[in-house]
Amino acid sequence: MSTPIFYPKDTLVSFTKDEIMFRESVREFAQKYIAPKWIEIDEEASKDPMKIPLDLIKKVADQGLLCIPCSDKYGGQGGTYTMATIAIEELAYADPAVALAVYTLLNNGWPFALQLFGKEEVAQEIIPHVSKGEAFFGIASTEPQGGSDVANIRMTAKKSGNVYVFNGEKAYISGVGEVQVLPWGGGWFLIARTGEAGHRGLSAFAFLAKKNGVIRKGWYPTVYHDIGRHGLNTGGFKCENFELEQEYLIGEENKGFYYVMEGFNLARILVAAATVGGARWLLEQAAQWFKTRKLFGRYIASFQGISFKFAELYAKYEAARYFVYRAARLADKIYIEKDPAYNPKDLNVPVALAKMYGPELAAELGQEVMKWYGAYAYTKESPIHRAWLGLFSYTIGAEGAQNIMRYIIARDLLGSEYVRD
Amino acid sequence: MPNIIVCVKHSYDVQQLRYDKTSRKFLLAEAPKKMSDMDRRAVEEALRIKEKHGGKVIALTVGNQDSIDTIRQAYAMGVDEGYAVIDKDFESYDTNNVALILAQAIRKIGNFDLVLFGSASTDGYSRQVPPKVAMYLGLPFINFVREIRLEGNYVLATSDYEDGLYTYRVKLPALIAVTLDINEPRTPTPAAILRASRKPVTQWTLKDLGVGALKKYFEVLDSYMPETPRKHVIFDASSDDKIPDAVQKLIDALRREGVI
Repeated sequence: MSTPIFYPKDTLVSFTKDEIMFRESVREFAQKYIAPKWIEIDEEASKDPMKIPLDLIKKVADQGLLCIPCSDKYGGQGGTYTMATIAIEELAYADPAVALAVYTLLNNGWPFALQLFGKEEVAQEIIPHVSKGEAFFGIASTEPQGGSDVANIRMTAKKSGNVYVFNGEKAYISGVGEVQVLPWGGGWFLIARTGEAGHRGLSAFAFLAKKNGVIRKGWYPTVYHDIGRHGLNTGGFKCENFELEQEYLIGEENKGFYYVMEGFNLARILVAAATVGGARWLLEQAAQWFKTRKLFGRYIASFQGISFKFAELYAKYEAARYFVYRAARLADKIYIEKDPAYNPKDLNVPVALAKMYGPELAAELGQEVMKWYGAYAYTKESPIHRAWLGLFSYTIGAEGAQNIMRYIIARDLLGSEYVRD
Repeated sequence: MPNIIVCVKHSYDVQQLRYDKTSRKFLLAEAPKKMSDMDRRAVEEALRIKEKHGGKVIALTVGNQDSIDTIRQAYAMGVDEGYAVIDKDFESYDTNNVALILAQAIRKIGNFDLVLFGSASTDGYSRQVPPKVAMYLGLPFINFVREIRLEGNYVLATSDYEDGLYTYRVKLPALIAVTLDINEPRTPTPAAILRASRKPVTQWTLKDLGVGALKKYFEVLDSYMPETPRKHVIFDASSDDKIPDAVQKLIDALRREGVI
């Protein structure tokens, strides 16, 4: 006897003519405007995390790369999720420290989640500003005690008349600096406790820390100094009796856990796409090096210790890329085409595969390319460490830790009763 | 408000063109295609003129069935109408044939003030089609243009020749061919690309244009990647005492080759 495994729902990955044209367009854009600047951005923001590349954020917005899957009635592009995925891969290829790619992915995935689950008037208020590059809209879930244990979030949002009053702290949140410096402001798809302990007491909010250029009362931000991916700001904030109007509640009260999990699935596809784009840049650095570098009178790739490892990593790169686009195609079926044969849970395993595999490939590849280059790669003159450190951040966290991805895969394949302790 | 027809070619993407290492023939069947680089600038320039003066921009191509992709790209950039003359024998036509077909198509579209081309296509690079179309249509022709200005019924165009820049003033209608220096073409947004795929492309055959049997004036007999053999000369500088001699020999060799 054996137990059949029914995953995955097969979806072939191929690209439409529109998507091929779009990839060429976004690649040309990214190579022209972002590739020449990414090292300078990474260096400047490493000294001062508030050196946010506002000019490039505006360019990315003008190119229509924010809110790609959002409806055009909210100023989105009315595109597919696969198009958003292509955009992120190409931006990361142009900026392998992935600052611009991650800014862009957050402002695709989370405005789209807001469109799916939020109120019409709130989507109409926020998404147009995000798509124009005037506001940031990311995710605020993690707290100082941890990020993976979403069900035990401590920040509270207590209803008082027409407002919710927030108290508590969020930590390791992308965009804390951006919200402060972008002209309109913005905030996060934020999750806070409105009810009982556990995941059934959580609600999601379109949490605007700054709106119409004004930072709201009771919001106290801090900016961190990261070790990589410097052009995108990470920070935390405290809420002390921060008041938010009740219309910013997303969906129903105490259902926030479910909305945020679907949002995570969407955003994880794009995170994985960023790591695949960065990995392509790293592979090309390696290929270039192998065509010039000789040791012991031979090209270094003539040593199988190097060429075989390169081949293995290339295989992982292709696998990671497949995982990413397979998940993106499924997201299109579920959320864009609304194909009744698919439902949001169909994304769990495909997305977890992409998010587990892409970041680990990119981090491993970065480390190997560093070693292949030798001592030069350990100098600040070499750009490789910037890509490596930027990409490495996605093995640590960002829309879910790596072991959470493993848990999701095992849970959905085996059944949750067999994987709980 | 000028009506502008821009002729665009669906060219082989020469940057991705590979060749067979033995025969040195190009592997055309697997080569991706895209709108010719200078033609993209012509579309961009037409759109900029429209943004300033109003009017309409029409894209026109002649080619195989896949050349419609180039009209879609022009639509994504923002042109108003797209026409494609489709002929399965397109690859075998010479530049006279292509010019004649385009001239007939331009006549059929009618009502134009300006016809724009790229000065040369990315793949063929013959530079013969624009002047021949001008000849067939009896239009004034300005080539290698890097700047265009409209003034009433006249166009001022600055051409870049090796010995300097020349500015010409001609009465409309006219035909102008532009270089890569004229502008930086726009990269279409996702929304523009999606809109483009819904726009109709008017397709014509040679019969629709009243073009009968085409006489070929010349044909391309062969095309291949030229071989550039290396001489592999080694100058021995393996020890300090050999370096001065090696340097002198290197300088002599470079002088012989006319490099310095």
